Amino acid sequence: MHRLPNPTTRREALRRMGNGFGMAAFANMLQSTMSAASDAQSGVAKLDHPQRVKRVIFLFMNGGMSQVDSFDPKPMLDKYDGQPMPGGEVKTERKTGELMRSPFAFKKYGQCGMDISDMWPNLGSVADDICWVRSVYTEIPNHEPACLMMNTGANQAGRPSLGSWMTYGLGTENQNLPGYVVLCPDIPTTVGPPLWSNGFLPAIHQGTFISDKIQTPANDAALEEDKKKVDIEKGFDPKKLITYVNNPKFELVEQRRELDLLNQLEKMRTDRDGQDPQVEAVMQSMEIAYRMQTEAPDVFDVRKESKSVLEMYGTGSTARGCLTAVRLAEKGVRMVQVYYAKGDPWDAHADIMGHKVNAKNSDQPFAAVVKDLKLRGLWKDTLVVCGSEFGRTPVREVGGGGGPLKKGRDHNPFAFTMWLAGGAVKGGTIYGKTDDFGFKTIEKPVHVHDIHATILYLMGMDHTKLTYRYSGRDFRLTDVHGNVLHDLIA
Amino acid sequence: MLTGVLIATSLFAQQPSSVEFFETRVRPVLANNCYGCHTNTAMGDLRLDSAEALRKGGKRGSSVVAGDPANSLLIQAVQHTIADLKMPMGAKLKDQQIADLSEWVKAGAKWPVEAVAKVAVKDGKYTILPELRKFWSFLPLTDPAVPAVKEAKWAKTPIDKFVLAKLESEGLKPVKMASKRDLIRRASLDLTGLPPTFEEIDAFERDASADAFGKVVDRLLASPQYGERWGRYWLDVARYGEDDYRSLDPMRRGYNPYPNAHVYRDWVIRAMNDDMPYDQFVKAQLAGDLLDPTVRSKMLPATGFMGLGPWYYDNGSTEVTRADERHDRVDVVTRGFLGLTVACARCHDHKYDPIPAADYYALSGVFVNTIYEEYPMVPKSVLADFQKVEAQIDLKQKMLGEMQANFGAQLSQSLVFQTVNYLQGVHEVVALKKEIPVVVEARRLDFELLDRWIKYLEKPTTRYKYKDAWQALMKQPKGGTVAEAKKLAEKLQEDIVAAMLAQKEIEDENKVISAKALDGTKPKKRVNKPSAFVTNDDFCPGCGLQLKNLAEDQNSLWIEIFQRQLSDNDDPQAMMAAGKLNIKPGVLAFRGWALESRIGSEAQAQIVAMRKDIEAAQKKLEPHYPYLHGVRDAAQPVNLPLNFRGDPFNLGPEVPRHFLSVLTPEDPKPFAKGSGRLELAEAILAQPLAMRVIVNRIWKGHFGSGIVDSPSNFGMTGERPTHPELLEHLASSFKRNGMSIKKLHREMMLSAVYQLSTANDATSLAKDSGNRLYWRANRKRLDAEQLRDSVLLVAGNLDAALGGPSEDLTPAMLRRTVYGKVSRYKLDQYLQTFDFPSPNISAEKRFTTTVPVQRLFLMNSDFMQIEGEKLADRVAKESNNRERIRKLYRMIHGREPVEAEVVAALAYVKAEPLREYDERKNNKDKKAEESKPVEDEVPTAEGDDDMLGMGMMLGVMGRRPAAVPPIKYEPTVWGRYAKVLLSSSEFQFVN
Repeated sequence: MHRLPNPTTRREALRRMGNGFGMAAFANMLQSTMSAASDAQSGVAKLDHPQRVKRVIFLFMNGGMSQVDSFDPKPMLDKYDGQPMPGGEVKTERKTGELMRSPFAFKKYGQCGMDISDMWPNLGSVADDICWVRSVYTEIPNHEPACLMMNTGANQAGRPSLGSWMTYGLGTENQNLPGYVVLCPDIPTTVGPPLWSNGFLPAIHQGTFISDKIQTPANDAALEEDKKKVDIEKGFDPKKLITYVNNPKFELVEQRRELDLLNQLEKMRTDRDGQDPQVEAVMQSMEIAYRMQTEAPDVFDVRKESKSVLEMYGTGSTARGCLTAVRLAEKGVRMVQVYYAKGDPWDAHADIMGHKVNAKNSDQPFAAVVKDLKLRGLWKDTLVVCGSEFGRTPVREVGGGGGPLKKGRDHNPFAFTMWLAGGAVKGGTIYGKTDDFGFKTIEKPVHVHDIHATILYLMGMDHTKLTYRYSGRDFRLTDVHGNVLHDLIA
Repeated sequence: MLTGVLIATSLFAQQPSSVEFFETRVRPVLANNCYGCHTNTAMGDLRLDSAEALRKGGKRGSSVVAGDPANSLLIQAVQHTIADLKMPMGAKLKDQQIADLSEWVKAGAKWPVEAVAKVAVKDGKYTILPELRKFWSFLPLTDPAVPAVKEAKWAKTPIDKFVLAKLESEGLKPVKMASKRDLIRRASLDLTGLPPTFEEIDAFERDASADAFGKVVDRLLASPQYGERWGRYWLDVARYGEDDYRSLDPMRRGYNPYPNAHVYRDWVIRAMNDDMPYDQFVKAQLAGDLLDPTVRSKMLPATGFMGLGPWYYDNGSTEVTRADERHDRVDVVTRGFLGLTVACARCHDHKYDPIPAADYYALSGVFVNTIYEEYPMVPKSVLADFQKVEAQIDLKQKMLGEMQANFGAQLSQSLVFQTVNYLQGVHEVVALKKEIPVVVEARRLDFELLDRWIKYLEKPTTRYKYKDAWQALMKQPKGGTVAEAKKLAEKLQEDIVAAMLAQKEIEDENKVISAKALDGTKPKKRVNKPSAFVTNDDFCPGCGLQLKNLAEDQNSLWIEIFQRQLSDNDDPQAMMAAGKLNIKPGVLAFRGWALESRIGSEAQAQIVAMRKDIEAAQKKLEPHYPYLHGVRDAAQPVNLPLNFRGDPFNLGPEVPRHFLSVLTPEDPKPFAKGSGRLELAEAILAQPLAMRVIVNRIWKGHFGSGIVDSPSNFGMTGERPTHPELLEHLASSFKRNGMSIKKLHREMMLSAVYQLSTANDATSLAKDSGNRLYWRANRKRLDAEQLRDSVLLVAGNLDAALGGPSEDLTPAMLRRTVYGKVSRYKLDQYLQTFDFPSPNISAEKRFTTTVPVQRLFLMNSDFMQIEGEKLADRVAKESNNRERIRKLYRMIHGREPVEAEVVAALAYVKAEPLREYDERKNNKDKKAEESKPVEDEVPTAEGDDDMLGMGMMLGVMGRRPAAVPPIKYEPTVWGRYAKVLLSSSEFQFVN
């Protein structure tokens, strides 16, 4: 869409029509009125280069997962445990002290011999399918700007998010579903809605927040019992999840009748006043809206999955979120993001052992996403991205903020690990390197902008050309930065 | 409409030698594809931003041979005819673009004089050459003669002659005039955002007098609803928002509202209603606090323009966030008032307009001295009383906290010395299997404390070895001897006492460390106001200190005894995420009632008394006195240094605060009064540009497209006016008329151009499908406010009260949409769905998207159905269905229905209550018996509000369930019928 004979006007057209929901309808409508739409086949706009992936699943470990306790082992931490880190003071969010060894044991996994800690055994079992980027860095060691950077490419709130740029650039493959879905048990995550905001892009590109919360029973004993079961709880109702496309007071048959009457009245009016493309577009969007009401609840209905699939994902809201994400991807949703939980659950200031619980809830579902995408034949054109807004320090935190225990790690924007998976990236490879203690990137540094540029590239878009003119200037997801990481691409 | 936009440019691009051709076909191509490397960077020694540079060429020689594209390097490069010179790098231009460039070279490669980059750097000084000051929008205001036209009879006003002259020169003709019905609906929705009533339409249709329409316009301009409509237009530009995203305040994470934001919004509405002259309107918003005392109090609310942010608080390093805030101010002021994108010059000299980076910092310096200020709107004595009580409460709360902490510490310190006794008791219960009550009685123990000790001693830990010996002993038959147990109990008591004393010592030391880090003698208070974040320490006092700690095992012991129990996964964040923030107190830690019940009645009474005192004082503070969010000048104004590449850590020379160089004939004089805001306002208002920008905004509000359709960009990259002389005429007459916006409305609306119909004309459409020459009126869809307000109005539900605090846009909110909450953190879903602009950045126009979610709102929202039911109620008493239909048409469409419409409606209402409907109803009743009905459920989870796409359901479903109870309703066939009429294009569009 950014490579047309007359980009300004096409852009203008997009502003007016929107895409995402109903991109195909958009293309259809345009076909009758302008020739420029001929490049917009089946809802996908013209690409800058061949598209490698059609959709993205972003697993977001909000709070900051520690790289040195998970995917970036540092034997030197054992050796120098309790000693000051060479190279002087560490400037992160809070006061930090001496080096701290990882309490987790590392083991080699897969043919690639990737070192992964015992927090992530299931992920280890699919290590050969994953491309591990150990040299990611960001700018600010606070959750909010770092979360915003990871999701919107800017440190201040107000910019369109990654998913919004994607649906803006490509539309969606399924006009009856939102193009960009965000899953989390509750909001707010830290920052919250600005992380999936459309910013100044048309509203249709905003992420649709849907809760993947498990309806838990009231008492603790039942909860413990329930945790072991993969059966879907009784209270689960996909229609409730997406109230915005359903009003329980209305039945489809009544709505059909309303639409028929409206069509009849509109026809009388057209006969009287003549045709108008704007009015026609409105009528068409109404038919799509009508169909969305049935399709949308269907895709969220995880009860339709077999027991074996449910068991592959395991229990808990992250499992529910991951399974839902794959189902959405299967139905053509452009981007799905799964957050671990509200707040900053991975923010282990006090005790790094806190990661154990989180990893236990995430390991099996994350691995299941990889396996399931293959089972469903989505592997080759789906990209899975996983990471936090930043990593953690190799030194222990000693300031007042983390409490008196002092077994945690502070925020580390200078290096952290993200992983990418899917047919379009090189599985079983490690990219980039951190220093002996895992504090700073020393080889092949990857800024968050580079991750974004690469994601857009794989989607068939040039990040320097995916622009939106707003307030007198052309905005980009990557601002004036970003390099595509061609070395990672299979 | 869509096709219009696409072909619109064709009209202006005829001759390859023309300025239009260059500006639309050549310069954008060069700018977008070549300027990255071939301007200041001059790769291959080549610049492509002026005629001379092109002729001069680069290393390979001249890049164009005028008139000979085949031999021009530029053309060869873009055609990829030379193997090692394929440009642009890594891509190829579109065939059309290459053809355009060739055409242009063939026609002589004429570079229009005004487009030459006439910026020169002489002796390190940025100089704007005189030619550049001749750019159209910088020129002095003219008052061009009204042109002669052929169809003189058609033209009612000078506006018409300007428009018609252009139409005639293009061989076009205006379409027929709008019907009176369409005209009054257009005028009403334009000026007030509300449709006319049936009676108003009828009266206007009957009024045959010559000034019938003039009377309508005057009536509408005089109605208070006018300000609510046009005030909102300005609020788009002013990026009005009622909160900011605030990150690190742990109490109110993510959301920092400005509770009195509405005071500014209401000031804007009132200023529009009062027809405040535009110069006063501008001055008040930039410098209301600096105005003459006679008007100051009236103008003070206007400083909300800056006081309401966006402020970025502590979202990142203070240097960067403060610079980002100034960027916003420069942006909104220069684009909003002058149509210049000065904020682009933050990192480098402006790439297109003659605005050096130094000018950016000259203006930015004004805002570094503009401080957030809350102005109380009560007498000083009231304020003083309030502040006194507030300060006292703060102190009392602190004292209460300390008192409780002291009692708690005393209690646990005294209990430490009973450890041996308790542990012996534990031995008796656990090893000797004695009954707990018996042991409690015999040893005079606290029942709960004994229980705590039992559990504590049982629990294994890897954190320390202090209780290992005890646990080993308990595993022996009968738990060893009583003497052995006593010995271990004494040892453990000794260890705990040692930990306690060591901790005490460290705490004393830490106090000294903290005190040493203080500036002055008072501990730092947590700050909360936008401007107060100067250093990292301001939002996390003491966080940067390295305090001392006990050794790890002793520390863990101390925590478990005096603070809280530790587990293997001891991370509060992780526990909270797992849904279990269930921190259990340490063995000797008692809080709340557990504490109060153990400290004796006297101490208990002290705490209760203090608590009551605080509660009583807090009541005195309700309600908070009203205040407004504005700005003031810094006491000691300073200049900003130039930030190289926009980096606030990479500083250059200091830049005096002054106005834009290109708009000042000689070197701009430094501002001398305070921050310089008032001088800035005066300098802006002296600019012809300021007049052009505002009249163009008003024009766009009426006609759909602007004369310059980039209303906040009148610079090089903005559009050129379609009717330059008309723009001059409007700006001049505006100035002459005392900058009265209402007079401007009148002038525009009484023109024949405004009163054209939306009829089509094949010839005109083919030539100017975008209707940029105004051969007809543009059909417009109702915007977010018009739609919601119109529905409420026709349903007889609109609460017309003016002003006041904002409310959530729930179905229960019956006031005009302009009074809905505008959140920068999370914009209301209804507003967002209907193209309300983002309040984070100044918006120059709204877009009109057409997406199914909008239809879902019309189909499924409670709001639409409730209003439909309201309409149904209003016609229920009519004698028969025909009459009901007729009345609904009059209320909703302001006309009588035609017979076919009545027939369709009759069929619908007759067929509707079908078997399925009854069945559903029965099923529902049955279900209701089994479980609670779904629709009455108010989800309790705090996140649920975002599960809904429809903002108007928010209040029903989520955010503040207590405040807004859901409206109960049952859909009826007549309600649904009314909803269909409200959803029809006749209602949704304005002709």
